Amino acid sequence: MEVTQRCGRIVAVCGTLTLWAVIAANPLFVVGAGLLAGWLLSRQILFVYRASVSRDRLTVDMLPGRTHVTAGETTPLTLAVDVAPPVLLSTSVTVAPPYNDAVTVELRSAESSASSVESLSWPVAGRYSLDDVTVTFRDRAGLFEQSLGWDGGPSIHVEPRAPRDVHVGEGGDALVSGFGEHDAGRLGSGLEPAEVRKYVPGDAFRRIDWKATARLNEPHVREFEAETDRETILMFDQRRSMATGEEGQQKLDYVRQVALAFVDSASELNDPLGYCAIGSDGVLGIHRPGMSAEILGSIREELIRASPMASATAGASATDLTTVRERSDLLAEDPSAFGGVLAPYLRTRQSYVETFEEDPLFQAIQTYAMGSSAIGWTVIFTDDTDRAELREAVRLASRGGRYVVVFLTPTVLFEPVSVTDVEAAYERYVDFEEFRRELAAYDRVDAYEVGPGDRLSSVLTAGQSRRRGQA
Amino acid sequence: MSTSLVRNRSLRDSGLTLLGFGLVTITGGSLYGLGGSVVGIVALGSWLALPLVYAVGIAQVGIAVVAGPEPGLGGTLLLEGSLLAVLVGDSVDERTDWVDVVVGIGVIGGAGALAFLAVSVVDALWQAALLVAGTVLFLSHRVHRFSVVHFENNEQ
Repeated sequence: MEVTQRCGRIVAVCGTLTLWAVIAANPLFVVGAGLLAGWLLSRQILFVYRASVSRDRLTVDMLPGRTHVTAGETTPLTLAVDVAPPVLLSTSVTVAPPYNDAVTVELRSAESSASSVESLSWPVAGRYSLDDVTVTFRDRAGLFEQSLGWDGGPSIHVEPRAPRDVHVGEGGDALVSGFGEHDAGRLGSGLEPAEVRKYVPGDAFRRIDWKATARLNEPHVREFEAETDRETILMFDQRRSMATGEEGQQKLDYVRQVALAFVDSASELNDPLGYCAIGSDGVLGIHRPGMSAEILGSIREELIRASPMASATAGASATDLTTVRERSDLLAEDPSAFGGVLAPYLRTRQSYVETFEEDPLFQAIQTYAMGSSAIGWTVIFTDDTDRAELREAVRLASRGGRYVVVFLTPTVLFEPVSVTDVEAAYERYVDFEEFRRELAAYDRVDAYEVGPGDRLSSVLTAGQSRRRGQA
Repeated sequence: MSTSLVRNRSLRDSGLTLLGFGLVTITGGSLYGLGGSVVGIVALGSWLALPLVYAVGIAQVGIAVVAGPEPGLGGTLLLEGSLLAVLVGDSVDERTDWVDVVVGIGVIGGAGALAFLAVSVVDALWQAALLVAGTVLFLSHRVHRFSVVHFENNEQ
């Protein structure tokens, strides 16, 4: 419970009267001060009683217009407060949603309900709980206040702006099977039917396929695809080069969709999944392989929040990291429009778990992926900027019997190209395709291209036109 | 603004408070003549412009001035009883349920009675003042501690 300035003034009046009683040797002042102090005490007792009653009767409802939004969208939030039957106490409920101004509903004394609808904007992807709720009771005389935390707000899932024409494939042909699906490479007792074969001694009777036996006139058993738990680790490149492309359609936005599909697949198939985010100076985040909902949820959250990271040491500036942080803290508190626009991005800045001086992708695979299970898979999401490093990284990842899948974003499909440059773009795409095939030719390595489908189509069409013209 | 600290009720809704100020005017006049009545009238005027607590404080100073350092047992009882009537009258005028009225009468009356007993029984005035102030502060602190435990241990 907090006392207000108004309450303090009344206490001062009581104190003055008491002091005056002693100085003037007049007992009337003591009695008068006692009466006023009693009045104040009665107000305090009644406030505590009413606040307690009000809290028991209070219901706070937060109804977002949508619980799933895309980054940059706005959604209405209805905040409804109800105290029934009403209490002689004013109540205010304040919700502080991230990236938005606080939403407050005031319920005046003896009112039973009030509500407010505010529009909330969500500039940064992630999962946010509207649980920063404060309830404040205030007595009618404005003498006392009591603030309480209040739980139970809904969560808002803010999905990143996802590109709509994600192409995954090889040489312009789209990949048919889903990401994360995998055969065991052997037959067993799974769920997917594989083949029917003749019964041989030793087969369990329950595996006899009676329909096939009746049709073929001798005992047959049905084989199924065996299922395995495949340990997979996602190596997610967040270096500066992954920022190529328009806002919301950058390289990272495309590979993110593929990586999220792996998370969904791992969730469905109960495969253990690990995650390693790589920035320009090292590892940004690491999750050891696991199949619990918490781990998969965390990986999903990190993928949603992932953004390209520039090197902290890039450029000729002598500004050290501490200075940069101090300046960004200042900017985060800047009430101007400039500060307001930048603040969400400063809040979501990531720090490195481990830094490497050079070749962070290679070093990260060496440090984290190689320590995992020998029969696992390493899935690399990156681009074709540093081909030498990627070659070494893929070779390293495929050592010891591990399988590697590389999802590559061709830089040529993300750079702005004029109509006259389309032919040159085709040449660069052919160069990329040769590099992809080179990677795919390694043992236990698959390499796929990831990029905008319409852009790829236009580049391929330009290439076909040129070949026809040459013919 | 509060209905108690700043007057925003109509006089029609403040019958008992008005009656309390009338009692102060009549009692003051009968005990101390014109000076006593003026105190009641000034207090009433103050109440029309200022929060009730300040009007009571002004009345208290006025009463002490006209009554002098030795007002006598009867005078003290009558005048302070009139001020008690003002405070309780305001509580009753403002409140809408019996809890408020009972707490208002009980606590204000109890504190006033304690103060009266203290100045009557304890010889040294400073000791009486200390006893009253200490008791009220102690009770206020207990209520505060109760609210801390009650609200912080039972947050929703």
